[in-house]
Amino acid sequence: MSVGCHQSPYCGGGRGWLSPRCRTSGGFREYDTGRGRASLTDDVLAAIFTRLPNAADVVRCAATCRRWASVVAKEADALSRALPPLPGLALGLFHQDRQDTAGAATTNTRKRKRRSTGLECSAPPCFVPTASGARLLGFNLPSTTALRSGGQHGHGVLDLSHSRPIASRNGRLVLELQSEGHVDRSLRLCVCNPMMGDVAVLPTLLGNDRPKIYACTLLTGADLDLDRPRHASSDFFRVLIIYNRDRFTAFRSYSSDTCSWSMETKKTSGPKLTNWDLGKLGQGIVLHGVAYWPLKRTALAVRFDTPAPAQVRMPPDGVPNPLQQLRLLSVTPDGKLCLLDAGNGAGYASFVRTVFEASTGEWVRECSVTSTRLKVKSAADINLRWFCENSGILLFTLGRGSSNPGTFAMSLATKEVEKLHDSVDCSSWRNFVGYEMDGVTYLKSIACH
Amino acid sequence: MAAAAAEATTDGGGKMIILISADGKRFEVTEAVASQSQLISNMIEDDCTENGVRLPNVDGDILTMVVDYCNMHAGDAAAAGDTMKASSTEEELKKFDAELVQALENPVLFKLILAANFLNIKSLLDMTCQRVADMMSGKTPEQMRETFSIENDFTPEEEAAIRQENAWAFDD
Repeated sequence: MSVGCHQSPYCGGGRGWLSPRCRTSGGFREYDTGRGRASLTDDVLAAIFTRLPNAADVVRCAATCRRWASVVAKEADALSRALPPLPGLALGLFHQDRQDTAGAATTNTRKRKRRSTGLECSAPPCFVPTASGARLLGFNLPSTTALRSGGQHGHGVLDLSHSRPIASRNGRLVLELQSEGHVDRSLRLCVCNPMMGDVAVLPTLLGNDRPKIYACTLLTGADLDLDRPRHASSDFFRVLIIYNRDRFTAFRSYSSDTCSWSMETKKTSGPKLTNWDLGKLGQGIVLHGVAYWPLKRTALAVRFDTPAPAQVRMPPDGVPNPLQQLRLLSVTPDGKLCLLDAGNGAGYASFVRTVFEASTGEWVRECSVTSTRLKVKSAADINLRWFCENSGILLFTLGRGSSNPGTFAMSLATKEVEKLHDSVDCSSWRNFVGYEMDGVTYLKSIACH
Repeated sequence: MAAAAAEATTDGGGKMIILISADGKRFEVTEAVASQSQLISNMIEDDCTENGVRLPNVDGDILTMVVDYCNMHAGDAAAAGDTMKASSTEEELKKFDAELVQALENPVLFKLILAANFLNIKSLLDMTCQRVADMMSGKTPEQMRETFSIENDFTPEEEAAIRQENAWAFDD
């Protein structure tokens, strides 16, 4: 049941963000259990911890002494399955832009978003931490080398600095691997956990199978724990891509349990998506095994906890007030679909969350926040980028029209705003992907202080 | 299996097994009682209980409790067919279980857990672990250290960092 963490590829030997911290503090080392009096063994302690009624109890146990922290870390996998979902911790965001050649005016990149084709000379993905991410990871400045040491892949280490962030959920990050210099006629995706340093490279999609424009999302073991414990491994993941064929829009998924791509499934209802719409989809949000992408008056819903993906009906018929341009579809930390809108509230940035109540089938305007610290000229100055579904943190950028341009993180629960980066360039950041730590890593991280 | 005929049997028809604690105390129990321990059940299957089962890491006073527990619960399976009897003993069992763990001091409770773990008696392990989990639940780290006599080996800085990162778990 308990595998010593020092044997795990994830700690010590791994090259994830978490491993250097664990080494310096000796967080995962074995502790003497003897001391002459009756002392519980690690496996018994773990058995007790799994019987605690809530996650806060486990966190407080880990804060009691080093040995208990190390037991929580070692048994993190089993504990996170036994416990109610842990709150997420938004560690920061990735973005990746073209190499800044002679200041190639960033002004038109926003309007004319060319999709990455492999022809562009790309800078490495840049990681911008939140304050809590900076404390945990030990670096507080934006880092372009965050992924350089890459991840443990087979016997070697894969350099992830030539890659484009595509999607991220529950601690995992999907990257499109880019080859240097030449035109690439294939699509290579990989899924990594930068905290742990493991990476899985998906089978290359070549020739006719290579999607030119696509959107992507990710399902993890944490999504399935509630109703499908057979997948309840923290190693499980499934990647869904949506792309265009000549005559139709298609889906296919990669599953870590079969290590292969599924058959292609056609989008059955509604017209084929235009390449323009497809290019704007970004990461799909995921709720109960279904991925959602917002379209103009509705959302595209695709079930992909099944071996092959299948389109399903969007539960609510349409979404209210089509104001898509500034809108983000997401999931609340308690598992409801929600829409986030930004607006100009008397000269200040304001945000509204509308939540879909499945019981009544209605969209309910739930909370509205106006930040008096953030002056804007118009709603167009606010660019909603990412909603961290587990921690409820909204990531957004403010452009030139604001007195305070930059990248911000706002907690919808506490309404606290944190500035992550101070630059007018933030509004033109591309391939913007928020990053949250998953529950298993969270429990391991407590031992790493 | 042929050897079983020669063994002493109780009125219940079960073969008797001798359990020997670390301090040499001997306990005679029926196979049905002893089989609640997965460890001993496996030994019975492998026919290696002839000369008694030595349990070098279980003290006599703890083994007394374990044997009491197993004697009480041995009826579980046997009484399954007899619904009247089963329902009346169920309440008795609950009361017995509650009294067994409630009164124990921590060091004794821990020894009982370790014995249940070693002997692999799932129901006893479940019950005793749940008892400790109930004692832990809702306590602050300070209270836990006090309850379980644990030394705080975090530095003040480490402890402050843990509290700050996990503030949600420390809200009262």
